[in-house]
Amino acid sequence: MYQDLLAQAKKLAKADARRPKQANLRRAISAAYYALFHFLIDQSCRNIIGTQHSQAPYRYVLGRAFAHSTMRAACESFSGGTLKQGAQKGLPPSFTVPPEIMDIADTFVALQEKRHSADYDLSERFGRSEVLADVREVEAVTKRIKSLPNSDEKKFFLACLWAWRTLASR
Amino acid sequence: MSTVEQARVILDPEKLGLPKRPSITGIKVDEYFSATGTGGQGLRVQVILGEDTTDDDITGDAVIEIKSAIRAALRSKGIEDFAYVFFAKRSELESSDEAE
Repeated sequence: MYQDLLAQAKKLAKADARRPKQANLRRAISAAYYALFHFLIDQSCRNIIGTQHSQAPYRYVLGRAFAHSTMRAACESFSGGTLKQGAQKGLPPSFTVPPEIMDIADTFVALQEKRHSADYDLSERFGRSEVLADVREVEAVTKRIKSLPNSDEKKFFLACLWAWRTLASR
Repeated sequence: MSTVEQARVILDPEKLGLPKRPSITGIKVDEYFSATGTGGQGLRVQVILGEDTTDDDITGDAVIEIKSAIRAALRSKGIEDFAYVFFAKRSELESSDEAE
């Protein structure tokens, strides 16, 4: 799913060679955000359920439990590199947030905000450079996360996208 | 000095070690007002790209590198506000008020 959304975002970002239409740029931002949203959910569900093709129905059902606001709250914390005390407590002293995770968390927070503006705020105008930067950033951060070894830090981040509200409030 | 004023001093493009492409002619910092109402304090960081920037210059890796440099520079001076980074050529900013 996320690859198709990213392809759609790229196509819309480059549409209208001479003068980009706001409608296409806004839809490109929205598609880029949802590409990232579904990518993170997919990665998290693969982490929790497993990666086998036969396990896909379980991943898809679990995926419905993810919430934009919870994922954003987790990403706000991970993008800063230091977690809230409730989440940090008990982790190994050597725990650090890998830069690839800080980057994708940062992208998620920023793009969720921008998606909201793109869909609802007509006073906000978007240029092609802005939209290309967003779309290509999503492409790059997803590639980096996919190639990041499946470390405990990575697995913990992916689990936090689902469990953050409860964990951070302890 | 307010956080925005501090950030304006910190985010001098000449001192951030930014990639050569896309070329960056300036960085403008303002307070960020959340579109969703869920964000905390934030900074709106407008990266101004040179007019010679091509679409191919705006690579994902360069965007990540620029944003990381901005984030690291702010944190190194104790500014923890989330930086919402935007990219545009000056001509795009000037035409943004025109109706479609």
